[in-house]
Amino acid sequence: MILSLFVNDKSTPDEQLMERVRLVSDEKAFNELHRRYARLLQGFFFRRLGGDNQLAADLLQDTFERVWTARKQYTAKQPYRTWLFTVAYNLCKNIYRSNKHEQAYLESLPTDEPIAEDATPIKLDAAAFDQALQQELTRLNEHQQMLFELRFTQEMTVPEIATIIGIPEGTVKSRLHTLTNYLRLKLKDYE
Amino acid sequence: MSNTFEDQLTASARRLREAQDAKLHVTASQMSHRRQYWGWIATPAAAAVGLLIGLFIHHPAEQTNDYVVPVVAVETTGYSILDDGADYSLFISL
Repeated sequence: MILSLFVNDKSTPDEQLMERVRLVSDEKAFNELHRRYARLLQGFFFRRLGGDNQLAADLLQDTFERVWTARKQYTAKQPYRTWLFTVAYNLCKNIYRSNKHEQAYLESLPTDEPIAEDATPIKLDAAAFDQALQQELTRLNEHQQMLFELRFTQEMTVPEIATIIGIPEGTVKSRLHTLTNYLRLKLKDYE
Repeated sequence: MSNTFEDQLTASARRLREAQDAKLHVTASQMSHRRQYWGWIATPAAAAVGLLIGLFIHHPAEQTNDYVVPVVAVETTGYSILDDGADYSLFISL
């Protein structure tokens, strides 16, 4: 424990840094965690909340303020990234709740459209796939977008996602299966 | 080269994320902002307080009470056990 106080911050695991924040309110450790995750989290908010960079920046600060306030509740057994994204996910949910009309609109968008019969083969390169995927993501509802973000954009595991969203792993797997099949169908020409 | 469709999705999502995240203007931790802010305030404030204390110490308020320095006179008596027939001329009583 004592030795860990002298370890170089750059190479210290997230959990050890957070433990220092929890035990001795170490601001240096807190700032290092902020440096590691700020861009990732702001990007998460940016994508999940309609591309509003100012809102994303505000929510980033809110997230870290909550982390600081709730630092005593952190347990070292819990992966820091999962804990951090749980806080961020809950902030997103609050925003969604406050934008019910927008949410209703998003959910009303069709998610199982048949493939157009006159779809023409498109050049199979990464840029075309990225563009098509980006377009398809806008058609997903809020829950599907969040699932895609956590699984494919943030490259999280099923147990991590289950912890963050607060649903059983089996449900996450099932929803991911449905989502992947849907996207496979929509992006068939780009595979 | 991606092996499965899921790998293809992951690779694409990573490219999109990296492109989007790189464009974001991310501010530093509020914690360091707060510390810098208070640093600018606290340092001159501490210097000013130190100066005032220094001035006060070098120019104390005038004393209004007279202090009496007690002088204690101590009478000391020397005792000696003298032998009979000794030279008493050296005995000194203080």
